[in-house]
Amino acid sequence: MKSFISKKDILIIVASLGIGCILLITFLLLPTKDNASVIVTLDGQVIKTMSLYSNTTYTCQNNENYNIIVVNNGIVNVKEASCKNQICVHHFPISKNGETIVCLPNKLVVSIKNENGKQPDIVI
Amino acid sequence: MKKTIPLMGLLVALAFILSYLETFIPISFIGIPGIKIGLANIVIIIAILKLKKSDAFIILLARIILAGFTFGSLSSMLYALAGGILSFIAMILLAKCKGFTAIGLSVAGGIAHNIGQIVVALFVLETSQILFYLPILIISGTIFGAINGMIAAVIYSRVSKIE
Amino acid sequence: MCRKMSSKSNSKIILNGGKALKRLIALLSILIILFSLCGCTSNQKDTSNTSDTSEEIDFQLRQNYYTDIFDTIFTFLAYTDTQSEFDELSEDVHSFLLEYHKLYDVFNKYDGFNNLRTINENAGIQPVEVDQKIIDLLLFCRDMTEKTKGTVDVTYGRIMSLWHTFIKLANDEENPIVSMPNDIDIQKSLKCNGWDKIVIDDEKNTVFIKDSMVLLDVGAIAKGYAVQKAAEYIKAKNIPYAVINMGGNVTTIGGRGNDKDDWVVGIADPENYENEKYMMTIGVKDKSVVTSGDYERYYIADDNRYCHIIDLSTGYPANTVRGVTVVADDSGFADALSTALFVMPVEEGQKLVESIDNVEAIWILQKNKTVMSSGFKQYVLE
Repeated sequence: MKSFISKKDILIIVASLGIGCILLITFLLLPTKDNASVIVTLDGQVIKTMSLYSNTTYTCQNNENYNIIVVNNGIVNVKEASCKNQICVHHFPISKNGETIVCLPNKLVVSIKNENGKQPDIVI
Repeated sequence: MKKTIPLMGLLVALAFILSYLETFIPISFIGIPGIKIGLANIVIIIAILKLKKSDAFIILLARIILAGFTFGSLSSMLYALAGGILSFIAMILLAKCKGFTAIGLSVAGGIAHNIGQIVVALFVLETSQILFYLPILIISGTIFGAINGMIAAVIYSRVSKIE
Repeated sequence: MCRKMSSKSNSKIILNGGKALKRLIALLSILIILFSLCGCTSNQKDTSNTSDTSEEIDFQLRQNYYTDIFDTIFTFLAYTDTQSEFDELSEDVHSFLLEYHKLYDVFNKYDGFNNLRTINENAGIQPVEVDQKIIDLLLFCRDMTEKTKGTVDVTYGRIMSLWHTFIKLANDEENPIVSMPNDIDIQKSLKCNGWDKIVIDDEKNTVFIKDSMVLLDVGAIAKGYAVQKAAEYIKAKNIPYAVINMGGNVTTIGGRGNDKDDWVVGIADPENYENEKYMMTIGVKDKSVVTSGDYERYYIADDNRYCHIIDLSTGYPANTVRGVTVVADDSGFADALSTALFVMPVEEGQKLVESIDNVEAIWILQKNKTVMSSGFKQYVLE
């Protein structure tokens, strides 16, 4: 195994792992305010905003596709979904500003953002 | 020239089978969209090192289209094309520079593939929130890229003894 | 030739048990074991989740929404102990409102019973026998015409239908046509109205439009009226805390999760109403909140906005204000009133609101300036 791996290879591996870890730590260090809200986007359009502490179960339905989003005590996760790969259901629960759960087949994005003031239950 | 066509056919078949086998590995349990092992990339790496770049590209396209029509969907093909083409460009760029082995190529290919997929998702979902997955996908692209690269290096060292 | 060589190289790989190959096999086996373990643990997680959902008692807010009623999005929120209790309640309320939707529908026919479309189709021909719910709605609408001093009048269906057609044409996805109805048609259609031409027989349950040119359009009141009935239905089921939002017609039952806290309703910003952008929030409990706005159904021609709420004194869409939000006890009344206040000059509207007890309103003018009734401030949050 004369030249199994070269110096430049190791450089790339270390550099990418380094960049990845730095980005990861940056995301994790973002502060999460008390008034953070959960934003649900379907097909690029915001369809629902709720407070991170609203303790709600929201069913998002789009023709035959659905995702059930549970916001409980500051933790958000997708409980059930109609997508084939179920990645969104197996996703780790999110609770911090910037974190996201995505359901690519259903074009659904659930994310947490810092917001000021009380989030409305309805907007008319 | 004529000698390579049967070889290319073999490689397409191999890449296709590897793609298919990958669908049985339950990687979706990790719950992060876009994480892939990318075993089929091993074939592409060997093709880049051993054949003409254009031949390798044809193998890549053939594999993506075949896999997409057989056990994928139109949308999965879109992601596969974006990831595949970007990773191919990254790999041939590195192949041109001296000092990289199959492992380096594979790592670059893996990272580029994931970045390509994130770019497509950015357009499909119309929100920048998907960038949240960038660090994790860079890391997984590196790790799986390194593993695939080692496998490719081993196979290449055997295969390059022929012809 | 190539094939022979490949088989030779294959056999070389198999026979040559080098270190690298052994490493490779070891690596692959580890990977396969790891992934199968992932499969096992995830399966365990899944089963524990499903057994939890059926037993888990957690008094929390749950929401669901439907898109098949009253041509708008119907959102239902309620506090229940379990998800299955909520799903059942939600379907119940949905079916309840679906029945009203079908009865008050002027566009579609349904097998087996007469609805508002049937009444319109038989204008000038014969009386139509209908469900008591339609009789009750029309009597309520007649009362609303009086209470709003003629500003909201469901017998003006002909002029409303004229503008609906043009709005629909302009918003057609494939082939939008932006044009204006000509003034002669407008004035002709405007003349076709009048409660004197509507005969409602409360005993026989029939409705007869005497004039074949007069049509009924209950769009300004029907949603609010049905929502009020649904609220009464929910209260009768002893559900303590719930909200119905029928495309801008909101009614709240109880408080938000307890008897003390208010539900938070955002008032949409007419400039940015997409993506749920709001310009202020109000807190209410046990109240109905209804908004009429120029951004719901409209089209733009020659830099002018033509919305779906018609000023019955001119025959043209109203453009006094950009939006009005009314807070009242009865949802049907709030619906009618918000339409009326949208059309009337603001000062006249203010006088009307001040003359009625337990009703407050806010007018949103151009450039998002606002005017509030005397008691509206009590609802505004921060």
